[in-house]
Amino acid sequence: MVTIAFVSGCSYNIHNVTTPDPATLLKKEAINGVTVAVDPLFPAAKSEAVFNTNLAKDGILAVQVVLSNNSLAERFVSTESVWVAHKDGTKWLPVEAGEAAKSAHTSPVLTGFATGVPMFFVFFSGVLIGPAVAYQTAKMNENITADFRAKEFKDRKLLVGETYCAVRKIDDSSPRTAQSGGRVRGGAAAHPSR
Amino acid sequence: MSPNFRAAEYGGFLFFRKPGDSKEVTTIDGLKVEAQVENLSTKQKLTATIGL
Repeated sequence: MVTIAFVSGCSYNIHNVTTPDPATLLKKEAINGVTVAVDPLFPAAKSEAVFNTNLAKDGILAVQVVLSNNSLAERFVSTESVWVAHKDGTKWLPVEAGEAAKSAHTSPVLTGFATGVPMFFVFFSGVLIGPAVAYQTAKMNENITADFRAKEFKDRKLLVGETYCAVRKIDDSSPRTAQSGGRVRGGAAAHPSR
Repeated sequence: MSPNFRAAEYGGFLFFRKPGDSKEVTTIDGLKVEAQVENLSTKQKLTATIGL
């Protein structure tokens, strides 16, 4: 039972993000044909549904940003031009995705349990299993970081009539271990003009 | 004009760390998101302010 708890606690699901229509998000503002909608990943369940971890416990707030440009001009938005602040003006510090991902990283102990290798066995098994568990841990953490980076907001030019949002393929068939994220939706197949 | 859903490969989450000593985020009351969107032709910047 304890092992099962550890296994479920240390694996990392790649949660794909569905397309949020800006119109459906409650927190938004429209100015001159540009709609900015945001969705904070708070409380814990929302954060865990996307990043498999409660970022708030490490003092991090993730905010999904959706921009819709229905004006007649091209627009540009950069990561530096979006920020969170208290109403008194105190800004929160931006955190790079790789840094935020550390909140979801696993450790060799947890990886050992996840792969069915209890730590006492790792410690006493000599040179073979220990490095293997360490390698597996590093690999999982690499994939976790890659998932955070794939979902991170990037500097973006908004063409006329374009919505900028996070869209990833819905694929719940991924195993309960870290792996690289699936192909994103919205590529050539989802975008006829490409 | 219907929105054109593309740019999927970029994702859209930003991460922010709570300032100060107390670490855990326990509430988002009193927070706001500000976003500046630049008009590439005129260089004019629009600022949207959204309460959380």
